[in-house]
Amino acid sequence: MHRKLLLSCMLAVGVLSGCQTAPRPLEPIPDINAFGGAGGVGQGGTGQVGTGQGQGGMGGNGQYSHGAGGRNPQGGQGGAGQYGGNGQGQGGYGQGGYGGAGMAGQGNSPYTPADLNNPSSILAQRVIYFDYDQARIRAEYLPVLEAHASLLSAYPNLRVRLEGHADERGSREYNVALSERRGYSVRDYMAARGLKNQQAEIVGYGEEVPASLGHGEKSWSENRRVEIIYVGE
Amino acid sequence: MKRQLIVLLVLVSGLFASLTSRAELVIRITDGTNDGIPVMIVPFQGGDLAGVIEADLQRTGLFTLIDPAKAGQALAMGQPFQTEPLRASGAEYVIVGKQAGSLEFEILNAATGKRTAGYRIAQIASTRRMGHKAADLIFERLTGKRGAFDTQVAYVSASGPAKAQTYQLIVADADGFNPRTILRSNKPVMSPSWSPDGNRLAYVSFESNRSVIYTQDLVSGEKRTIADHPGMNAAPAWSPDGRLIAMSLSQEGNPDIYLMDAHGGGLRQITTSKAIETEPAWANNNTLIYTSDQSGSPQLYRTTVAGGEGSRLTFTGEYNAAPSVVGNIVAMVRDIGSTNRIALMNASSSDSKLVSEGTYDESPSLAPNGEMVVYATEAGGRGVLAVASANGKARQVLATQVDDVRDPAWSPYLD
Repeated sequence: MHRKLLLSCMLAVGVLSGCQTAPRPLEPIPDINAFGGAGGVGQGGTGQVGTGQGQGGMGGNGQYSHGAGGRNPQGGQGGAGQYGGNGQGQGGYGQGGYGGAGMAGQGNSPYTPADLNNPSSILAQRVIYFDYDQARIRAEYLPVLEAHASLLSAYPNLRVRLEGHADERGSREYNVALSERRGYSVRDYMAARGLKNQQAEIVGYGEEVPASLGHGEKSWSENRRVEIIYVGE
Repeated sequence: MKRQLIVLLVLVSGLFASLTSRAELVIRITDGTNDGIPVMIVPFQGGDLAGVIEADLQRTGLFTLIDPAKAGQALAMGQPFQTEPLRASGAEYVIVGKQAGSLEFEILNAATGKRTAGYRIAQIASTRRMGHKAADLIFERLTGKRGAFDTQVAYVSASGPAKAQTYQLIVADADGFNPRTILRSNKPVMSPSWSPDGNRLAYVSFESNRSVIYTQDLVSGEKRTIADHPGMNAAPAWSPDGRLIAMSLSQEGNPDIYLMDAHGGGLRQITTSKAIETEPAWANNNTLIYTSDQSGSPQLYRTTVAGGEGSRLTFTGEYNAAPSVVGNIVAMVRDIGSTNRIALMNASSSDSKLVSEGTYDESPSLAPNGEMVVYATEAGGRGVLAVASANGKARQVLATQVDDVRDPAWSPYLD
């Protein structure tokens, strides 16, 4: 316990060297603007602790919906802190942009692949749902995506398929594109939290594979979704 | 728990659907018109093709059928007839005919008592098709426009429980009869598009767990992969001259319109916006109409094969998508406030009208003569195909099997 505390203090100092204030707790950013605002460029510390190397977080500020404005998050880049050990690092938060959750080398995530099979783990949640004709991620699903991003970041050999879907309304082919955009929203949000783009394959299925065959808002809300599927699972 | 229950219910209802399947194919006429050209089609001696012709003509919204019981006399081909009772019946034209291997029929003018025209259609394997050919001749004689009844429609059907459906690509006569399966898959199949010679279909299949565009020869079954780029490969559309295929690809990050040579290669990007651009349709060999949400919601735009910035075509309705173009007519899906309908727009005047009356109508595809539009709608909780006349007066639900049916594409003229 004591050891752990000491370690995290060292990490915080390393990551945020030169920073006088305590790091703010990282929270989901409630604004969800499909067109995204540009976040500032964060500058983290460059302290080094130990011999291991982690990676600083990409700030996830601003856009994390894959909107018409473009695919890539415009958020600020978090600190490129380097740290060793197996504690959870934190990216610095810089001018205008929050640092994302700190990247970690293998083992730095509170999750392991075994948690994927644990029904009480947040990682058991593999489907997130969307509003009509929208690709923005609802705030309630941010912790789910953060957990998956943490695992994927810590285990770079893991691969996911992000399968986007739409409800039956509107045109079929536009819905394929819309559902792909939902997949990119999920990827971009997770990429800002450590996922490498090449870890995720995105497929838009449109309205072709409904989870519910019914008609009406209840079925539609179950069909507007992105399913996170771990490859080989 | 609740979810499991829902899944169970879906499975059970899917079971009932399959138990009650294999019903007879029927066409359901939901709307006709009483101010069209009044035509009486007398049952043919030796066959039942009069019914096929009646349904065909009625689908255009340009004809009003007069009951042959009102003829006041027995009518037969080659026999003299009295004009007075025919005039009294309200009919302007009367069709009489006989089937004996080949089909012979005449168009009588009820007002003048004269024979307007006589035809003979040689016997072919599909008797119903002889009826469609007859309907084409009658249509052309009475309206001056080419008929499009002897054509086909490609569509997709899905059956089975949610997330475990079987998908079939089907080609049938334009009234839904004589369906034959072109492709069967446990992964989605969508977006069929006809080659202009009617010999091949392009379509999207997810059989490799991602969207890939294929073409398939309808006679030999030979299948070719034509677009398998990173990201989405969607919405193929053959140019009228058959040289190019337009499509929507997301390999540069977001979906844009591309062209490629129909025989492969020559890929070039047409649109470049950051928005979704998909559903290209050809207005002619040089002009493309497509869907873009660059304004914030899907609307139709026009550009040329040379590319360049598209100009917006639709300003009525918050959501216009999925264009189908014949001549000056642009059919589309329009959201009119929690309801999707099929709208037809005159591209010159920009006047448009709604021609469907369902709740979630989609995937319009115009007949090659522009007189009718086939689209997907819902009836009895399942997807069905319907045809509306371009004048909006007539609607028919096509004969399709009990599966969930969608995504129709009307063929070009076939000869």
